[in-house]
Amino acid sequence: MSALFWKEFRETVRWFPFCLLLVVVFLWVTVPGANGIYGVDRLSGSLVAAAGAAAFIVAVALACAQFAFAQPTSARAFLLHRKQSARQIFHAKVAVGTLFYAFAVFVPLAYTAFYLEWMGPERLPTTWYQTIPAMVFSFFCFSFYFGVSLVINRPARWLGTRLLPLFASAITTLTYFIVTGPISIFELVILGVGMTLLLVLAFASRIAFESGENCAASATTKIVLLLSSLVAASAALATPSLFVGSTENSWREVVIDENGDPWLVNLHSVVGIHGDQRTERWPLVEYASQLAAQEVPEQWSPGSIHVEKITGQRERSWDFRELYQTKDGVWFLDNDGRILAYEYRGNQKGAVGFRVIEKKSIDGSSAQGKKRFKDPSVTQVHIELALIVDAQGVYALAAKDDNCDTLLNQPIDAGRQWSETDSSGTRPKLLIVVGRTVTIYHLEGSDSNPSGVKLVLDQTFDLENRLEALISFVWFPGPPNETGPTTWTWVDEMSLNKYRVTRKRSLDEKPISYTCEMPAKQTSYINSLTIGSVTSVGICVFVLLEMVCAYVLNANLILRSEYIVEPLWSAAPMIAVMAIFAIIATYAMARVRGLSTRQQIIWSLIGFVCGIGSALAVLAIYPQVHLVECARCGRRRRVERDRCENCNAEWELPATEGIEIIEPWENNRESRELLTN
Amino acid sequence: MKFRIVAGSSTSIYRQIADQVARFVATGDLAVGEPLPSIRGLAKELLINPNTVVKAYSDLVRDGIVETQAGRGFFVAKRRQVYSKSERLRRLDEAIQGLVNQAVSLDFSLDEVSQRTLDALQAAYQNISPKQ
Amino acid sequence: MSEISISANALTKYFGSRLVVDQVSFALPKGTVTGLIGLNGAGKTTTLRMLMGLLAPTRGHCEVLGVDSRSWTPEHRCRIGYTVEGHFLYSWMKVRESEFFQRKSFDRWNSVLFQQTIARFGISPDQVCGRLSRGQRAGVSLALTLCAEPDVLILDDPSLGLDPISRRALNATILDFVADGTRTVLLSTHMLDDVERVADRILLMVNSRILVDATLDAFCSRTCMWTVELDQNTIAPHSIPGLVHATQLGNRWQFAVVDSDQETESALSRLDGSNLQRHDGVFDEGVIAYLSRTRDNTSFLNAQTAGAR
Repeated sequence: MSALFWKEFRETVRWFPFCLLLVVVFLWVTVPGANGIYGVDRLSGSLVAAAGAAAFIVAVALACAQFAFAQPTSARAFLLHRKQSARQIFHAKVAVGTLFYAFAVFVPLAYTAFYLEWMGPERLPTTWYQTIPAMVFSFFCFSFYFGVSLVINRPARWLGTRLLPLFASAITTLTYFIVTGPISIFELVILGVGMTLLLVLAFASRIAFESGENCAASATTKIVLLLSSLVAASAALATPSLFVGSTENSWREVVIDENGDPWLVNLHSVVGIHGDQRTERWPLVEYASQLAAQEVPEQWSPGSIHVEKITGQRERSWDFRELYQTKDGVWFLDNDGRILAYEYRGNQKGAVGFRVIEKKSIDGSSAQGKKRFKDPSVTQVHIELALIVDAQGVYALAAKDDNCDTLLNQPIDAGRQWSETDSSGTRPKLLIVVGRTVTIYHLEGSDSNPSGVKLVLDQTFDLENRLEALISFVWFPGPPNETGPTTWTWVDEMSLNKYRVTRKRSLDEKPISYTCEMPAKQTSYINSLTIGSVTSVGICVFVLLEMVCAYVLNANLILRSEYIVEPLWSAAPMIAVMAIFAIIATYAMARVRGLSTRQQIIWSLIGFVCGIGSALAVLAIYPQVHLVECARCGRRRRVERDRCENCNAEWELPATEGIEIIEPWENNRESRELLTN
Repeated sequence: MKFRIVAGSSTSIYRQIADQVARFVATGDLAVGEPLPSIRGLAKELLINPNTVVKAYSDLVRDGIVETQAGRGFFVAKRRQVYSKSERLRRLDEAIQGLVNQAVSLDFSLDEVSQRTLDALQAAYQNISPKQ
Repeated sequence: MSEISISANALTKYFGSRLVVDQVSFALPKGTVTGLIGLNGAGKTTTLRMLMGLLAPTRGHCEVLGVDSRSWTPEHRCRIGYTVEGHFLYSWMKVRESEFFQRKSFDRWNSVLFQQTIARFGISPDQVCGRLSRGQRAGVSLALTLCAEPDVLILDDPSLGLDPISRRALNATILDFVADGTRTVLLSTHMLDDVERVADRILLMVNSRILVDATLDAFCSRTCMWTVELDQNTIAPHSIPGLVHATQLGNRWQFAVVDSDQETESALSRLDGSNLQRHDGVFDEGVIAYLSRTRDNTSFLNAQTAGAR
């Protein structure tokens, strides 16, 4: 056993620098920059990506060292023919593999720890359970190595055992590409490798199930392999959805609390799988003051925002300007990545990434306070106009040449709230919401003469009806409620979402927490679901699992996040179709593989729970059945049975050709005696 | 006395050994009562399977050229005839027929053939006669 | 103790729908050297791998030293020596390290024999396996197998690509191994000369089936070659009883016939050829006649092919 361990160690250590190199290159490529995978708004996903993907790379590289460079048949025969049993050989491989794997995975984890401790953000709330997805993913990635170790311990053929997984992953990746449109390379890779993982592991499970194949696996190992292959594959498949969920509608807002302290808050439109019920936030002023004298790490520029646009790439950052109001006046900021000093309550502070263009007092505004204004334009065009609404009226301000001018001072009815939008390019539109009625104004007048700009009524419509697509984003606070939490509502093209913003105070009256949560209750404007709204994960898996996810985790695997609907039952027909398809496919594959009726039923149930992937698992786990015609009854019989399953006939000897020379051995004592003389 | 065998020739290996022993006996290289090389020794020397040597020796025993003494090995036997007269004639005729076929097909004259045959026969019988 | 070392009983293997080994049965006695002969793809390696318990038979079973190949204990496996096809060695190991690795993997180990064997092939223990010549690799591989002092030796095409000196060393090694008459060798090879020298039994595998399972003597005495001068281009195959293969060489036909008798001779003379001749007991021609059956099974049956010449 020690010699085996020595041999495996020597063999693996030759490839290990290559594994480490891959990991370092991976970290080097993905981590730096504001668009790297380390983002403040998706820390959990970043951990998954860094640790998980590095783990995956190591597992694949270790497995490849086992896989690609071995002469399968003779090497296997040479290795198996010794006093150690196949199981001991397998255990030695696993022991050595685990050793190297643990060391290799330690690198990205240590990097992550180092990053968070010394390079990353201050006060970024990170809890241990955010690392669970990464850990689970890392853990299951290693089963790839197990699978490969088993695969190479059987006689492999290129067309079957080796290339088929790649074909399948290529086809699935292509499907994913077609269904979802242009997506990032990273997701393609994860998905493709995930499918490979599934199939390789299923093949590994299959050899474990094949009887008499000198397999190294016990019954427990077989079951663990099968389950882990399913789980690992689904984890790999679900990984893109982690990124989708965490980036798609995540943005940062500057929010002013009642003391007038600005906070930078992370908001998520979707409750991701990693549970962002608790919002990451930090006080802007304090943060800024701490970093005022230092260089600001590029990746922490709060000006970068990730938003999905329908037609463009998934992630896009752009500059924005922000207007907000405190007791002291109106602050007009833009972010150009510089730290700018500004005055706050008589003290000089530094603002990170926000440049105070102008601070302007507005009559009567201090009475209301705590209003925040936002320009959520999705274009690159800088904001021309911002509106402030209070009890006195509507103020329109425009940024011109680093100045903030009052363009409009117009009284409106009390309780009316304003926001502002930019529908389609050059002409910003303004929107006023009163109750359920929305009024849209557009601006008239020349840009070169800001004071001449006028607001002109454009149209009015009711929120009861479906919103037309002309509005991109509208924010408005709910009715004033002095006692309870304020509700903020966000409207986009698809749905009406409400966020409840609450504030807590500690004993010393300092704000200690700020939560922004999305109620489970959402109003959907989507009534029709199409195939295009199904995610890649939804295609492959999870019929029963989907319902569990939906109600326990409040996450959705089948539908793309903009199609999250309440209740889920409105998606039931589609889920039912997928379930039926999965059941039929699994049943058909079970029949093709010649399973018994009972096994067919069991596999159909597995298909119902785990989706269409089960059909692939059946194909992979059970060997192909070959049938030949029975000489006696003429029906098809299985070649591996001693007797015909129809007529119980044994096999007939092949017909003799009349030229056989068969002289069975007989004890030729005479010649043996001569020989022993 | 040196054995030479060729694998893959048109004569099988045991036949080659048997023929060579017979020739050594005929030419007097092996005298009557002299031991043959041991089975294992010869097999090792010629790099062949011992059973092949066994087969050759037992053919020689059958033909009466060699006799076995239990536990001691193989020895050249006294000449004796194991065949009947008619069988001996048949075998002689068969061999002569082969010679005749060759001679005719190689286009030798009768004189040439008979002279060379006679010379060969005389040389052979001269070798044998003194030992008898 | 049983007199049978290696046996197979209706051993059958399918790869997918391809029948590779078809109900093969044989029994090899202790103390013999058996040559397993067949063309590439006849199923030799598959048979050996089933014997070695590295591949599960589709049907049937096989035993080595009285234990079914599928249920060997590690201790039992130590009693069987096996060189894999192509003489696999870990290319990164030195010869010395290979010996260390194998020594730790077997019960018995004869280091002196190892030194002797590699010396016979002219190898130093400090050479790296990956840089050895093919013959040297075969030497190391044989040495690694033999030094475990197995009771049975199964060699899969050991002489492939060997130079004449290495082949001679290989033959000597095999003969030394069986010298005491208690150990058994099964040797798969294409070298008919080597088989003729070292083997006492042959197994001839043609088209997944064993056609010959006999001693070398029996094989040689039961096959014979007839030649006849003949102007025909085709021969009706069933007109000659026991015909293994017929080849046409110019205007001469050569027939390999099994168990030639009066009937065969009369059938051959009915062909109206001239100069009918018989040769007996030629090993390699007999083997080649059997092997030729796979290669061009129809060449002498098919008038068109033959007529086109």
